[in-house]
Amino acid sequence: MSHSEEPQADFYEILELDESATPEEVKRAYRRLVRRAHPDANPHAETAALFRQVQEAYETLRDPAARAAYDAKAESSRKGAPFTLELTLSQALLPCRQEPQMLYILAEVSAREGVSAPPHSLNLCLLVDKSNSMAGERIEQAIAAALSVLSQLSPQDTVSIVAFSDRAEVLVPPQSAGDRTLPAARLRSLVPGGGTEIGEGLAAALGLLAKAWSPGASSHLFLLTDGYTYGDEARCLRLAEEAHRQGVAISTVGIGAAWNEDLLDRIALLSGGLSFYVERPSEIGAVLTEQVRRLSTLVCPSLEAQCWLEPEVSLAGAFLLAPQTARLLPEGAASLRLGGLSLHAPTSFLLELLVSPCPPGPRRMGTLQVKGARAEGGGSPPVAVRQPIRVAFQEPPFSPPPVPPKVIWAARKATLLKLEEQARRDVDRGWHEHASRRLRALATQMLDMGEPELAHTVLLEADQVAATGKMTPEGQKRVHYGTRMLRALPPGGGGP
Amino acid sequence: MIRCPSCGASHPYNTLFCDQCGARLVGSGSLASTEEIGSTHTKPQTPVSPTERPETPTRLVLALAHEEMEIPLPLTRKVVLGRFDPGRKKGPDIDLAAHQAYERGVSRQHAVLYQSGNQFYVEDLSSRNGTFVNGQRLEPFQAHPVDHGDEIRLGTLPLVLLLR
Repeated sequence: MSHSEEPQADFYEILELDESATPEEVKRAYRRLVRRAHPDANPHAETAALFRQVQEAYETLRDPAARAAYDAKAESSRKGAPFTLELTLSQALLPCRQEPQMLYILAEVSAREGVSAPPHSLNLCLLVDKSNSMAGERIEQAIAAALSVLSQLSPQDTVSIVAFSDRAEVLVPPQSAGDRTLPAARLRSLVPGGGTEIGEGLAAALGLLAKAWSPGASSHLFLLTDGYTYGDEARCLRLAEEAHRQGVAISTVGIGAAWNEDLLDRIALLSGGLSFYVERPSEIGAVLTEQVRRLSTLVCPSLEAQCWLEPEVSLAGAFLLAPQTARLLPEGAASLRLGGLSLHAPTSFLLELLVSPCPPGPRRMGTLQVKGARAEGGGSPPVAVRQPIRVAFQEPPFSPPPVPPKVIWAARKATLLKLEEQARRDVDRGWHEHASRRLRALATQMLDMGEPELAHTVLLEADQVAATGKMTPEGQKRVHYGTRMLRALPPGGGGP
Repeated sequence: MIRCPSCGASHPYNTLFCDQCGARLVGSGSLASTEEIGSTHTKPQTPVSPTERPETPTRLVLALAHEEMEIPLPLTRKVVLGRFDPGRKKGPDIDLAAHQAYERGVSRQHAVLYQSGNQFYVEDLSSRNGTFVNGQRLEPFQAHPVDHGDEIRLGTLPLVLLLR
């Protein structure tokens, strides 16, 4: 990632620190990074540039007067960040042990108080599957949903519509959302037919969004499909990456039970969108209109988290918890894509850290940074907010402080996601007994979390797996998306 | 390491939930935290009295620590633990061949487990690589009492005795 166009280098980001770092920590970070970036150790042009940056950052931050001046200048931009970052640790006081131990961090990103969702226009593309299987109620409901989205948009918004089967067909090139005559006519003339090649559709839709790009608008793509795409999964994922680079978030809506949830989830996650399952075609409209409404509440269209850890700490897992539960993929240098931040609902994620033995005393475990640009865009640079991860080690015995309920809830949600993933993997391997047992465990946990209906569905699937070795297609989707949509907070808002 | 009391899977210290079975491991005071059981690599520890021991156990299982699996055991008779050798006619009661028994140094007739009164016992059958209870090597043919949560290691194959 290049930051050359930014007005001023972010010295804390370069040294992988936050503003609270002590002079000692600055020195330690410098030494570590110099080792990593020294041209002798790593003779690449990039490391040479990094080495210079590290030097420059250190020269400023080591000198109290220069650091104070730098902080004063940077403070205004940080204060202008439209969001806040709050960390809650499973334990801030860890026992000294001869073995590694787990540390959990719940990170909550919320819109800063007083911030409103900036008025911004949308550059929206609807990508509708028109393959054979969509014939009948599905295509009718998809058309109705698209029409109601159009009526939701304002004339400043741009809309385009692509239908795809094994080929993509541009139904409506980018135009003002105010004029609904052409879109309505084109949508109503849709005739289903052909196979499903999502890649074709994505490529065409991204092309239209790029053509209609403007600095003040945020770009979104909604993909509606009901089928498996064949042989172009890798292309789809490349296009999702491409979308991310273009600043396009792709949200996916899978209809019925015969589509690849792993692929659609991943497309959404890579591009910063959300993924949904609708069991009945009549639900398409509600999901789409709700999501288009959410777009207008976005304070930041795209957040990215960076987790810099000290050598004695490693990242064991990272899970997005709200707005949806998902395993976060550390793309490249531990950058976690969190998607858009809504004004009304915080984005939260959980980090599972494995900590090596440490001597007694306070200790910095690392730094967490969340970065995002304001929704109105217009070339405003992204703002970074950082928090240190600080703990203290103490010789046992001592009675550890209780783990905060919201961290327990978060860890439990992540655990349920892992159980569900594992159960599906077990089914694929033919380990029916394992899968069935895991589903039962999942059901027990869901019951405990106050989700009796979902627990019942999971139990039925456990029986199904035990009897037939497979989950029902509908059941699999219900369990998967049910697990992902569990409440972000424990009932009662997180306890005392 | 801590071991999940419900499925026997091993996890790093301070893990909150077992990702194999979903059980809560460590947490706030309202729920019982698990005991620690000495792992195969630590020095022998005095086994901590497990809190989850049921009043009237109805089932006895051996949890395989390294592959999150449980083997149910009959409560009524002696069971011989070992590995089945295709070259021999008679195998042990509980065949651990499918669980890396050979690689981990389990003998064909390695140890015997039985109940006498209210107490369970394990006895080494003069195995080549030894039987260990919570890290302590047993003398051959000497009965050693075992209870809920004890680790019984055959060679390097760790098992945990659980009462349900």
